[in-house]
Amino acid sequence: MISFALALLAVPSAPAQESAEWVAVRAGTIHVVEDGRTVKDGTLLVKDGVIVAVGADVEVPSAARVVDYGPSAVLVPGFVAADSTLASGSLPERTANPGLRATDGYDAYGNYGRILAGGVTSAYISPAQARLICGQGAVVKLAGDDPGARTVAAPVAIDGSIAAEARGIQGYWRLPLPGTADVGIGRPLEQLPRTTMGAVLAYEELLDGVAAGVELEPYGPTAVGQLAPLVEQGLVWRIGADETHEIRALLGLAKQRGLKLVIDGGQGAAPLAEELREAGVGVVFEVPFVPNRQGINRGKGADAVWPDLTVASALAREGVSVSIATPPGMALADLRFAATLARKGGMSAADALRAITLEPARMYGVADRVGSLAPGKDADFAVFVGEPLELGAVALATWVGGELAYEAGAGDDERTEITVLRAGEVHVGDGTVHAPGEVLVIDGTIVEVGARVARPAGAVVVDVPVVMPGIVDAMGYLGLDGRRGTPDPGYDLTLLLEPGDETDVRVAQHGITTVVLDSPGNSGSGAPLIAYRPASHDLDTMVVDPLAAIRTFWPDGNPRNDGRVVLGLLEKLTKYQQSWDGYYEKLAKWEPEVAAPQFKLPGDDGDDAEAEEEEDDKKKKRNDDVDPTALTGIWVGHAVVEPAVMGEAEEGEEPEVVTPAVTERLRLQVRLLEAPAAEGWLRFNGLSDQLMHVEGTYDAESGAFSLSGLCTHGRFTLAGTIDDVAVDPEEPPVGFAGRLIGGPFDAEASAERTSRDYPVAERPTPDDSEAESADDGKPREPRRDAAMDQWLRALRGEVAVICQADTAEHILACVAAFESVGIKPVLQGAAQAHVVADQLEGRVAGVLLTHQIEIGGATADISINRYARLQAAGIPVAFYSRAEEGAVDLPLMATFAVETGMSPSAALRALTSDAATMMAIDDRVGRLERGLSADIVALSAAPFDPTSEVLRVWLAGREVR
Amino acid sequence: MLTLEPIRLKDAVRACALGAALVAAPNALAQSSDSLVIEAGRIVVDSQNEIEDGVLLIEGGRIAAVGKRGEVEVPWDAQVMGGPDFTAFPGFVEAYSARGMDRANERIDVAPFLDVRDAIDPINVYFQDCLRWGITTVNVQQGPDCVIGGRGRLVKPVGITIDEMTVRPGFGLVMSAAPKSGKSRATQAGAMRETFAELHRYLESIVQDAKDGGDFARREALAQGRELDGDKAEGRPFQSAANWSIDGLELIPRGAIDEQKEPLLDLVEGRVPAFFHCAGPHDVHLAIETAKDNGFLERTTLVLQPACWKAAGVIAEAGVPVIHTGSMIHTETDPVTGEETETFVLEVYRDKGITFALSSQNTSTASLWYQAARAVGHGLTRAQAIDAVTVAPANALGMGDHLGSLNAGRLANVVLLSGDPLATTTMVEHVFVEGAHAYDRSKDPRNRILFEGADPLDNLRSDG
Repeated sequence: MISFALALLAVPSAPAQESAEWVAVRAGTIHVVEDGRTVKDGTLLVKDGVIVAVGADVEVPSAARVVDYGPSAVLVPGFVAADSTLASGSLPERTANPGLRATDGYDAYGNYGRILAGGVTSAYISPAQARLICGQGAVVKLAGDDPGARTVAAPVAIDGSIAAEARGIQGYWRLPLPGTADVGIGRPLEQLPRTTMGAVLAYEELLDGVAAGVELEPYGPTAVGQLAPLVEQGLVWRIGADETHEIRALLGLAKQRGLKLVIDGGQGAAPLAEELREAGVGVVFEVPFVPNRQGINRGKGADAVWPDLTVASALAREGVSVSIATPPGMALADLRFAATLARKGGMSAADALRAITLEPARMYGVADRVGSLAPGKDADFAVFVGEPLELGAVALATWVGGELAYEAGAGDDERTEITVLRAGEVHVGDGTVHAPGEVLVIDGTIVEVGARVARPAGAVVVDVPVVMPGIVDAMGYLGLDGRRGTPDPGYDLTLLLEPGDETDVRVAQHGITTVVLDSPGNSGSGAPLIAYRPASHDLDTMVVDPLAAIRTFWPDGNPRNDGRVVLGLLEKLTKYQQSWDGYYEKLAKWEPEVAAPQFKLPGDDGDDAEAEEEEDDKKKKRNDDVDPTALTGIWVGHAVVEPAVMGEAEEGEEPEVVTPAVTERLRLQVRLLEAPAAEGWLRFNGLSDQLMHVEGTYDAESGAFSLSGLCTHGRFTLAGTIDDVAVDPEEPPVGFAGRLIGGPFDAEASAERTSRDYPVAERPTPDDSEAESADDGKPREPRRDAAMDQWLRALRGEVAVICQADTAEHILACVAAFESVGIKPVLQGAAQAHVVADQLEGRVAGVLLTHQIEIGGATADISINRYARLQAAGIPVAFYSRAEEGAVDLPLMATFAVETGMSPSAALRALTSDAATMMAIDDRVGRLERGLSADIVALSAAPFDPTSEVLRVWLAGREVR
Repeated sequence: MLTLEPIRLKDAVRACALGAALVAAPNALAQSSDSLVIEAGRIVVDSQNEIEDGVLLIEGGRIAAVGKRGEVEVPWDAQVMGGPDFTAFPGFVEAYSARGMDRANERIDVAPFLDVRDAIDPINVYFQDCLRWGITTVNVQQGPDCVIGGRGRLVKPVGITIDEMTVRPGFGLVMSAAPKSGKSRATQAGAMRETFAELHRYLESIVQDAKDGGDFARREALAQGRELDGDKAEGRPFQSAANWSIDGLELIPRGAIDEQKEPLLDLVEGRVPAFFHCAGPHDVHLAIETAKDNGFLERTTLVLQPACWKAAGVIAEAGVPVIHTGSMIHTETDPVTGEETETFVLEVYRDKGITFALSSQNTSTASLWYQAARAVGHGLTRAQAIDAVTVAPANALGMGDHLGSLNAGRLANVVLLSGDPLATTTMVEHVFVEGAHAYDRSKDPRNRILFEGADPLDNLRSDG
């Protein structure tokens, strides 16, 4: 309060004129353009919308608002579009329309945000197109609250064209009113010109008319009268001309009549460069390329003029004043791209920048207002990240008259957030480094990583020295806030999470973005661990994986019980798995009662039936390709079992028939796995009264398959060929014929496909209502066990298993036990892992070593870096904190590991991608790779460099602040 | 549904043989009795004055007196209509409408010699609808697809000939600052300026001809079959606030001025009001510039689309009234951020002190009372909203002394409503146009078709 009062007292001492509005804009590079001046780390000082000073050491008044765009920003004068159709509408009626004013056609209230976004702040506006004289051109600004103030100058030019488009125009005809017998309705009045000579003659006639003060009938009643004051003012004649002969003709006219001339178009201007320079004639060169449409055929003849990007540079070299403009069809916002194309033709970046700023301003006589950043001019400028005439520069902001007119990313939050991180080094995390490199992040997900990534519209470019993936604390306590106790299996761990904690943010600012949240203590059925981003701003983006890992232990307090917990769990797990497998098996066998199908008699709806037939015909015609999955489905048929003969038939005796010839029903339910593998179930009472699992192969081309399985008689084989493998078979149902050989049987088997569906049983969710439903013979699912469910997921590799084991003996026993069920555990502790490293390779997911990185060897000068040792043996290691905010020590642990012999890239892997892989969250975090979450850390120098510090951190694409 | 009290109605029917045909019948009433008394539970004289339990005394088609019952002296033989359940309201004034004609626009750019008289269709359903909505005066003008359009006409929606309907003939001239189809903004502006430049040239040339002793204008007029007598035989000097002038126009008999040019001369000399269309704020600049340069700013009314609110500063400075058409809410989308901004246009006009009238000419917007009610919903006061459909359009038409309120001396255009004029449940029960009973909702054949499902043909037959 006191300080406020003091401030109030201080105000009157300031002079009264301080009500002026001061703005100081800072940027790493400022291209003044005037005199080719460029200022590094400069300041542009603006007072009331006018540039007051520009330079490296500009004294900024205390009242000034300071806007700092940072060292990577490049500030250039607002671009001046040398040609635009903003004010042009339909064709005017006559050949010469000197009375048309472009300012009438320009909507000075319009919002030209899209054009401003391209850095264009002013534009020359043509009143019309394709007429010998289109009217009076003007230069306007594209932003500003006062519509009157948007006009920079009007008129600035007599706008016209002698190019092909302007010749051969329609006749002019005004219907006389009333049309009577006396006053015929007449016919269109032919209009000049059709040829270049006609066009030049028309100009001469008009100029003669002006000189003589006489209206000329063919040009309408007022053309000369309207043209005269314009000629008197000595306005520039800005005439469209493309071909060399047109330009030459205009040059001749200008010389003869003493006209100030600007050529618009100028495709064929290069051969006349010298004449143009001597005559002081400027050229508005329209780049001969229009994006967003198909290519244009320009003729195959030897003299056909193909797009020539070198014209602008050839003219500039000769000293001709050249402006670069967008051709009709190209968005005005792409003016910068047009200038970049001119560079492709050999123009220097400085010349190309002049050609879209100062040159057009001078051509139209408005260089006192716009076109450069010299003091005294309007504060119209554009800010880019990167040099604007290099490809891939991104617009940050555009100012007009000292006011912000466009700002990138100023849209509402609903918009897609696109960020390009541009770095000297991009450490992907798996050992790959892009130097330099870029990362494209869209809506929190990494979309592209490489030396140069895409720049979608609206992208915000951030320059940083080095980026790496966020660090993963493979086992930490951050967020427990001192809570003890181990959560039960099945506990919703997300309930522990709480966004918005300041400590979390501080930890994240050290680069730790993901924590696999452990808990103190052990659980007999395995303690669940959640992976989450502590500093994330909301719950949705906080969770990385609600169940990342299960932690158990091998050694026990009582040595006799070592491993009991794990072995017991695994035994239980096997049974649990079997009970589920059995359930699925039964479920596959079970057929729900099918309601009687309802038939529609033909004739009920004849048209429909016909239509359907036609439809079917069409389908047949359309699709007789081979169906790659023709085998999949349910096949019902039978196999004829031949009477088997026991023993050699004695002479004269009838052979003893052991089994009579029987026809047995056969039901095969099969599906194609990854071709050509197929599997399914066979029911055939001739072989077994159980459902038999079959596996085999299928050849999609020929339709031949071979399936085999086990039955009480041993192995059997069912082989056959499907008779129609087309996608749309000619005559369904499709069948197969083959043989069933197994045990005592060798039977001809045939079946028809009754269904294309192979019912894959989804695990049903417990549903009370279903239990109450009528007993339809549907198999009941086994009782759920939350502890075992999590282990089942571990079996499928979705959840990591961490097991504590220390001694070599324990380690090997533990690994073997898990191996028996197909789990690769993460060993935790594992003090002697490096001793048995050679036996662990490929059998463990990784090792979370005790924090003792370096252990002494036999003598003082031999020490062992256990982390490096294991990693060298091909076993991933990771750093973990087992602490809350202590997670910030992880980078230092890794630095120490590097100091004691680990490679920096291996240490980085251990901090990021290996930790993520171990915890089975590598599909979400751990690397800078397409599809992964944009958890990114920006560093001032390479990781593990002594001077390296964390500059910025992004979590799921959002910066942590 | 409210109806007139039965006995009185019967009297009225007997006395004046009131047919129920919607439009044609009521004239008989007006002729049969000199004075009519309308009683109402509430009389909304204008936005400021209301009278509870009042009477309106109507004589000769105009309001002779208005006041509380008992305070107004009522002739003993006057017809008495209305009743305590009604609210009397000034007939709504439609300040601008391009409807009621066979077609709204002509194809010619500049056609001031046209007259909507030749296009108005008295049996157009539009006029029937006007009565249903309580609109008693309509300014019928050409549509906006022109540079300079034909002459309009102020009509009442009653009568079977155009002459019967006419309130003011040759009323106003339509102009458009928004580009006509096929024109760009620049060519529209060019054509606009050229039209007046041409008028100037034409007048100069005939004056010069006369000064040179020629007789071109007169001869041409006679050749075209025009008679130069009375006023038309006399010349008058050019009198205009335009920034150009003609010396010696008095040499030319006014009747000799080319028919195609004459309406423009009337405009420039301030004899007819101008209705200037603007589609966007930029058009407003052209409209005001044209009106100022050619001396008819005083008589200009802008007919505005919603986007024009941005030019409110310019409009306020020029001091011209406006007629708002289209939506009251102007919505804009920022091309960069995609952000939508909504502006309640009338509030901007109000805050700038611009006189604005509402109009229902746009078919997508409902009638005047509904618009007024909506405007209140968006933040106008009740008085402002009522003014915008009564006094403001009347003043914009220069008819403030005749229309727009129920004060004594005004034309007896009275609407009897079933309730508050701005309530959505209110119905127009009776309409009196210049003292004639023009509409009775209980007899509206269309309502009977709608509500009673009566066969339209039968209905029309029995109602005679």
